Amino acid sequence: MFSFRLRVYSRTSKAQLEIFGLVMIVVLVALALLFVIVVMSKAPDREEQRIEESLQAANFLNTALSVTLPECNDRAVRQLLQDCAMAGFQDGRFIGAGTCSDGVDTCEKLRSSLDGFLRQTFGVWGSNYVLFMNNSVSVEQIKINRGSCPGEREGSSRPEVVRPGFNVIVTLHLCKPDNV
Amino acid sequence: MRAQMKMFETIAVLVVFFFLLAIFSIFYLKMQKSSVEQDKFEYGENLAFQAALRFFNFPELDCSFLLSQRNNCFDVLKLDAISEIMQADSLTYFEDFGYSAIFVREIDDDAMSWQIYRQAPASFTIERTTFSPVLLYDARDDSYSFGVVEVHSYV
Repeated sequence: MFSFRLRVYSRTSKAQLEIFGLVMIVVLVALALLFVIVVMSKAPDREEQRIEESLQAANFLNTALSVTLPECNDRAVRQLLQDCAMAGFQDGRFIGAGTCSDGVDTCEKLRSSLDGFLRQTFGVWGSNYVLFMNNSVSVEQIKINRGSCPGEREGSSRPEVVRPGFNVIVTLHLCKPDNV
Repeated sequence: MRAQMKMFETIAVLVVFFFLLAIFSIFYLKMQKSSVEQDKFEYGENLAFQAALRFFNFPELDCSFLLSQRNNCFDVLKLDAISEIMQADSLTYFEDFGYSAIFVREIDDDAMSWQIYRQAPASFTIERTTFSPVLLYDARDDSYSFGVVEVHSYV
């Protein structure tokens, strides 16, 4: 009788221990799952940053191309772009580009103006950038960059009408410096 | 004796379990703390960005020509006027800009600059700044120059 009670008691005790062990495992797994869900459900925090950088790039292009240059007969940078786009490029020189009142040709004036604006804005604010233009041999020689933008980048492109049916695409990419 | 051993075993398991739980909780709370700090930082940046967007859409500064207006452009003469008005009575615009400071400056050799709005709290933990390019139109000589809007937000 006594040994029967002992067997029953030891079986019950074992079962309790096993159930307790199972409960602990379930609790641990539930905690781990909760942790994973919390981490994975965090929204990507670069989204607002991307929108801001794209807007900044778009604003920059819109602003820079509309600035008028007193040393170039108060012509807008956009007009210099249009003039430069019609020019040719040979042996490292722009052929047929107009000249500003200070003797600089429109392509060089375009390059120096855009470079100055970029250095005094994104350069000072700590962003790397790449600005380039497509669709015309001469403007394709104008590429301005600070640092490199190998990975993730935001930016903006805009078409500038040179003549009906002839557009130049101006693109600005922004990215964080390499050491950030 | 056996029962005591079993009890010690159970207690040991419990101790290990709670030890692991404590380490896990400390780690998780540390992560949450840095996540909260990051959220606060981003909130400050968003505030600055929103204040800048509201400022860009400010009708008082439009470059308007007859019935049309130019995007992303401020009239220099209107900037002169509004900076005087806002400095005299900045509380009127507190609903729009909250605790922030807004400056506009020209990128040029003879650069002009304007302090448009400034309401800073007595103390703040985060100051975020956002910069945006803007076109500045001077009607006196019909010229456009490159400007920058600087918005500081205080959280």
